[in-house]
Amino acid sequence: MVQSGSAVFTDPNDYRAGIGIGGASVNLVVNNKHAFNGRLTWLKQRDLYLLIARENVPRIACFSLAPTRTFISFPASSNTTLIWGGVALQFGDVVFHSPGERAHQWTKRASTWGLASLPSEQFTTYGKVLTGLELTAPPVSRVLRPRPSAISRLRRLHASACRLAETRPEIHAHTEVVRAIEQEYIHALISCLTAKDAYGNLVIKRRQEDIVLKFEDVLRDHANQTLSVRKVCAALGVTYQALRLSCADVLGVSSSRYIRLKRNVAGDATALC
Amino acid sequence: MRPHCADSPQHQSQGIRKSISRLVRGVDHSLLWIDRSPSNCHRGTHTGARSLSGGSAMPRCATYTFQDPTLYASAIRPANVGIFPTARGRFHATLTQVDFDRLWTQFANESLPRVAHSTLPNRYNIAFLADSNQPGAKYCGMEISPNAAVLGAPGSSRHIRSYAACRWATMSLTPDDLSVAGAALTGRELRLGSAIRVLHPEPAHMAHLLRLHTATRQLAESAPEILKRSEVSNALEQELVHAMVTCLADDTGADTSAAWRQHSAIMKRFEDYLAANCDLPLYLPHICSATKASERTLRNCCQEHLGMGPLKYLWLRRMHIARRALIRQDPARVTVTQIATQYGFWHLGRFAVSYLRLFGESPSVTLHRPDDPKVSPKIIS
Repeated sequence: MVQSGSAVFTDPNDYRAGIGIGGASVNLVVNNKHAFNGRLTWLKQRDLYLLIARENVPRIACFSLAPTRTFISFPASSNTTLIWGGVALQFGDVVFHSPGERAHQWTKRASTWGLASLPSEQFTTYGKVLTGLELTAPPVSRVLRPRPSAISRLRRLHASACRLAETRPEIHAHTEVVRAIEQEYIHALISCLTAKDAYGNLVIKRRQEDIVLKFEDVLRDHANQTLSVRKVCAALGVTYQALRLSCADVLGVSSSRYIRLKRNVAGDATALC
Repeated sequence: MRPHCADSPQHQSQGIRKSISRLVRGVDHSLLWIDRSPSNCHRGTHTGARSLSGGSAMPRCATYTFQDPTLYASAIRPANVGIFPTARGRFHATLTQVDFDRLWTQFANESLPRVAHSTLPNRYNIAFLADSNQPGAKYCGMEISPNAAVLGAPGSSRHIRSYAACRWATMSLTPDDLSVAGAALTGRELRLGSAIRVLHPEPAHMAHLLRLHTATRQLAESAPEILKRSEVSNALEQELVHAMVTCLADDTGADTSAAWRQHSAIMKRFEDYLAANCDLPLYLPHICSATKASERTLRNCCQEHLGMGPLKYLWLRRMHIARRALIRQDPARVTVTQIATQYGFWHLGRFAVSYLRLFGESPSVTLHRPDDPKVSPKIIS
């Protein structure tokens, strides 16, 4: 059964629920005073999920990925500045996510990005068949820089399949079309994932991401309380300097601004209730 | 009957008659390897020589023209052949076949470069370029010049790629006939092998073979009635087999490398899988799984044997399958979209553009074209 669709969202909460179709859950904070407008297009086949997201304003997102699926994400347009886990992705980079990963992704301006996933077992099978190697999702997420021809093929297929979901969703009723998209996409995907790391060792960034994830947990646990940065540092067991640097890299804003943004989101949700 | 040379048919026919008369007079009957008389006239010491009783059958000769690569491929013998033109344009081919009593000869003239796959069922076959005024070709990843030939054993399979319009020829015999002829004419067992081998005969021997083959073709196309004369067909067959065996006996070529054999085995599995799923669109993950080769290995094999990657080859194959369906289907019952999607072309605009680029007409023109007699093979003679 193939599900496909496209929708425009003006409420970030609805938008984040829409991203969940792809097997990822997201907390989204808009980092701009302008009205949010996002468009999601998805294609959900038996195994393969594809999603393309277009947003008009910068935002900060905390992703939690399903542990049973293997995910990749990538900037889908050249003017997109996507920062994942504190690493600024170039157009042409692909994030190969670890199973069940939690990480932050933020944007500096209007952006378009893509997400794709396969069940981990299927992914391993296809990886073995196509490369002859045991290709599994890495224990720690990696930023890869595939050959330009490989990544442009993946982007082209991703965009075409999603465009088809927008303009001619009825075509997905043809089994051969579904099979063609899936097989072509999986081949393009595996070709990209055999590439080398774009940034080498990302241990420091990973440590910063861990601090920010703990920070996120503290904010969630104390959602109804007023928190000062000093209290947060004490709760996390890190210095103010470490938290400031981590937030700047991983979230693109200071810790105090992030606390304010989260509070605004919570306030909006309460007002709606 | 359509003349294929610049000379007038009458003049050409006279020339051929003279050459054939010389040929019939000049045949050294002591070299006869096919015993058509009650007495055994095999030469040499080959004890296993068979006595082939019965009179000589009249040779079958025919010349066809084709515009459909699939029909053309199905007419080629003795192999099972699949052909995909690789360049834009209308495909056109002429095929001339002369089947003597034992020896089958064949000449083809193709208008477009193409990739072909053939499997030989039960005959030894030598293939060569029919003249030197054309670029070489690639047989199973090996470059073949106009002075070389390729020997294929029964059961062997091969990919052949031409780079431009191409004229090629083949000669084939059953294993028994070839071994009898080899022993009778050379006094020793021919080194035949069980796979594909490239032969580099003496240039004079190869030139002689080409001359004889050309004469046979011209005779079949311009004066087939001459071939009905048993003394002519016997003489021509004897000469052709002699020339073929001489070229085979010249061969001192080295055996193929282990890597080449391994790649050939992968390509054979690849084609077997395609043949088993001949009307289905196939994709690389399926192929890698069926051939037990990684994408990288398969890509290397395909580049070596086909001159293109597996994706391009599979795409080309799908385009030709879709074209075939468009030609066969009734436009009142199906649409281009239905056929395109049936063969996995989901980007319909891109399919139409690629189709136009490859075949020189849009898919809807192909679908709505009335039954075109030119697509069917036309028997010239």
